Amino acid sequence: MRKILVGLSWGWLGIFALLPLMMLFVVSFFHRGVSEFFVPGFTLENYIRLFDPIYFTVFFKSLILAVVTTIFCLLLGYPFAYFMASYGKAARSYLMILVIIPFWTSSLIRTYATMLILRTNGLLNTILLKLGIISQPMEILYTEWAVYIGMVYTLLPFMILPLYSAVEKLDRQYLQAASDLGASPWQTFVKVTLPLTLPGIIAGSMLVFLPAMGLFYIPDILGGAKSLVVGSFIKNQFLAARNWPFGAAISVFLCLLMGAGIWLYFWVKSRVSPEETKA
Amino acid sequence: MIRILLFILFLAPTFSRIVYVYNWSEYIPREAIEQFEKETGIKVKLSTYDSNEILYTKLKILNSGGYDLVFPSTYFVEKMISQNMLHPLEKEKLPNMAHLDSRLMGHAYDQDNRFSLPYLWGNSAILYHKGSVASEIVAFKDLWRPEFKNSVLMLDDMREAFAVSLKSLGYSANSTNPKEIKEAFLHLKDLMKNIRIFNSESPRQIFLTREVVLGLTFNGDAYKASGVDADLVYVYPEEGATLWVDSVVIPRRAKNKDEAHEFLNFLMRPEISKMISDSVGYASPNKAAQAMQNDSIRLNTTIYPTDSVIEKMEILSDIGEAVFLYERYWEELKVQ
Amino acid sequence: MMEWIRKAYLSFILLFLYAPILILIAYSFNSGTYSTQWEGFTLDWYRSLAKSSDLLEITFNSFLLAFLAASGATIIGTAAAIALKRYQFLGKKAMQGLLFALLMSPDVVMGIALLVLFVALKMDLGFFTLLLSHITFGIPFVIVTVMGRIASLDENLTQAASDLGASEFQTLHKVILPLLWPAVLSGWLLAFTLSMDDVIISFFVSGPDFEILPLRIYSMVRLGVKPEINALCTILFILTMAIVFTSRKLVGDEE
Repeated sequence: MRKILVGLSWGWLGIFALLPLMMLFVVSFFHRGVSEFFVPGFTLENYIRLFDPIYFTVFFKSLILAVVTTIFCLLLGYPFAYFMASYGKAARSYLMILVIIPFWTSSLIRTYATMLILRTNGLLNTILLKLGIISQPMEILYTEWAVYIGMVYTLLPFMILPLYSAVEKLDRQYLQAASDLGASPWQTFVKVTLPLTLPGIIAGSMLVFLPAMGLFYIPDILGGAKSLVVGSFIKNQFLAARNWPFGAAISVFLCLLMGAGIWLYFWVKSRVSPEETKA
Repeated sequence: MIRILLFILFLAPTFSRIVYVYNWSEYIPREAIEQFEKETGIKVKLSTYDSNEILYTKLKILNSGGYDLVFPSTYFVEKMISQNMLHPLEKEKLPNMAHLDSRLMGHAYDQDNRFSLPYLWGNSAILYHKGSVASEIVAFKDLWRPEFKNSVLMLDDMREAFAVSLKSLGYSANSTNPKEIKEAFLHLKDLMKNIRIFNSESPRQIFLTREVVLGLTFNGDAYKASGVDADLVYVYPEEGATLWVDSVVIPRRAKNKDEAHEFLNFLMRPEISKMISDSVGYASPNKAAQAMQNDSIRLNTTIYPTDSVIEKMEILSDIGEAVFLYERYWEELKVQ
Repeated sequence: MMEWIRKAYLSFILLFLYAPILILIAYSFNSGTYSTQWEGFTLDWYRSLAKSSDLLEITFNSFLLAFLAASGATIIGTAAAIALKRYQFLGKKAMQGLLFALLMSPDVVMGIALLVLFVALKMDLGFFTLLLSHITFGIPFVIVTVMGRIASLDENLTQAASDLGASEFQTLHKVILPLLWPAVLSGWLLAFTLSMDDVIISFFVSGPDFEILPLRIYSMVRLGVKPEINALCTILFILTMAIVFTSRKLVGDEE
């Protein structure tokens, strides 16, 4: 039995996960070809090229985009999860479904619909003009704002779900105890609620941050393809510029970067609260 | 249930003849395909792409197979021929070739049309909202005017964008001179403040929603957009626009070459070429088809520019390794 | 007061999540082709959708692919989750690392790595390469879901089973799997959803003879969506709503 289970999982993951990633790694040391995708050989030139300030800027901008998206998702998602958890069981499960359902409509189509809303003569401007909140239509589409709105919109549920399960597990007696001991609601929140829901915050942030680094069609569609993110940059290397070795090198570098980030997080966490990591 | 599904999935193709067509998006009307299927019983499986680069890469990945009929533009035909990716056309199977306009045949990219035949042709020039500009637009240079801050649309196509910049500096759109290319890059960099969006899939949508005032557009898109909004004007810049011919070719390892020839011959039938040109808004390379078209199309200079305008246009050609330099600058441009 | 803020905030976020979908539904009844503004009510798009056989075929392809891929990913993912939780074996740490890498690497990287593999193996891109890829990217999600459930499994139950003389296979079949069932099911659902929505990986590993919905939508979105696609999405949306709420009702009744 053990052999079958281990064999099946290693067999599949070995061939279709490990092997391709290894091959990508190998390709990243090859030369570029004019008529073929790569010429076997060994060179570090693809990695050296990464240090060109242009490419550094691409990484840096994508990083900012991912971080800011994560922060916005957290700020919007936390109160939602918190309020959601305060309802009864039936209401909670319905709210939960309501958060999940948009997932089942193609994210691209929803991105496109967002475009219809954000247009200069779109729904949002029309409503705001009618209400007299603004006197001139705002130019949102094809700006960074549109990109952020699109990213937050797509990734928000990934933040809400883990946050919700963290808040739900929260023992309300602690909160009661804190307020009995004379803590203000704010103090209770900062000293009790926040630390206890930290695992949810971290899980949610990862679930938002990781895909945010790789997504490229939202910046392309809503941002007007003006500013390359690392995802579209990699895609271009493989499809348009056909520089597979360089594309592979960027991919490897991106994975290492993200791996390092996560490792750093676990390392910091284990230094800060050793007993929590065990649990 | 699943067994039935699998059965349908894997056995269905053996029931009839199929031709796999890979074309630009919105470049062939559904009616034409339906008519071909009805007449011949051959099923047309159509997939679409939106840049020559994607087409070229996909064909390379598929080792010049997979698709039976594809539609690269001029300079990519050249590239594909030089890399032995194409199958020589069997002209005895293509009697409708006789209808083609000789002006669009025998160009440098495929001198004797051994591998390619023209499908549609067009150009890229400036479309603008007449009511939103202070003075007339006459040249590519005008895109750089400070009043157009954040209101220009640029085709998301490296060669076309560089052509605008090279032309406005007085160079050839096919320049391989590093100094000129660099100058063109710096000039484009200047233009970035004015560019609101890069898009080559559907510029007309963006013009129609008035997100931009002016920009580089394909003539077919311009024709369709100005049909909806009369304020839109398409103008040929005095530096000369780029002219392109989208060709039909058969990849070397295509599996259904007979069906591909049959479909290609069908596409060159005058009524069909007319139907395609009428519906997508690009010019037909088919003389007999042109003669059948309505005056509103035949005499429309957006679709069929006058000879003196065409003379000033330049065809983009394969620039060999200079393309790496273009790519490098193109990346830098987009990393602002 | 607090109650009011709570309700307002929840409604605001839900409105944010649903506004695009509502717009989409509204536009599927709009008679204007360019869906730039409202031009009157029509059912034409639904009619032309019913006639456009290729769109329906592509939708069917997508469902078939998602169904098979989710099933494959669930089988392998569940096996891996049980193996990882219950056994010690060579390369266990390496497998955990690999799964982590899979979860973490952006879709683009995964798509290209698989493409490099298929090109090297000289496989024709098409249904099988899509299926293999979709199974692969579904696996880590199934594993994560199932592992969570195994962690809360009572060790005493499996111990008791083997004390009573059950073989390893019987324990798995009669004790573990039935207990894992809900998690396996939700893992399957997750894999199915991901497969139905994947654009990026499919983009690289698909071929000419098997087109799927997300890719078609991708090329259409860039052109400015055709109203037929709005209509199709409306139907799919209503269908999923119906399925979710009925299954919810059924499960609720069982409880």
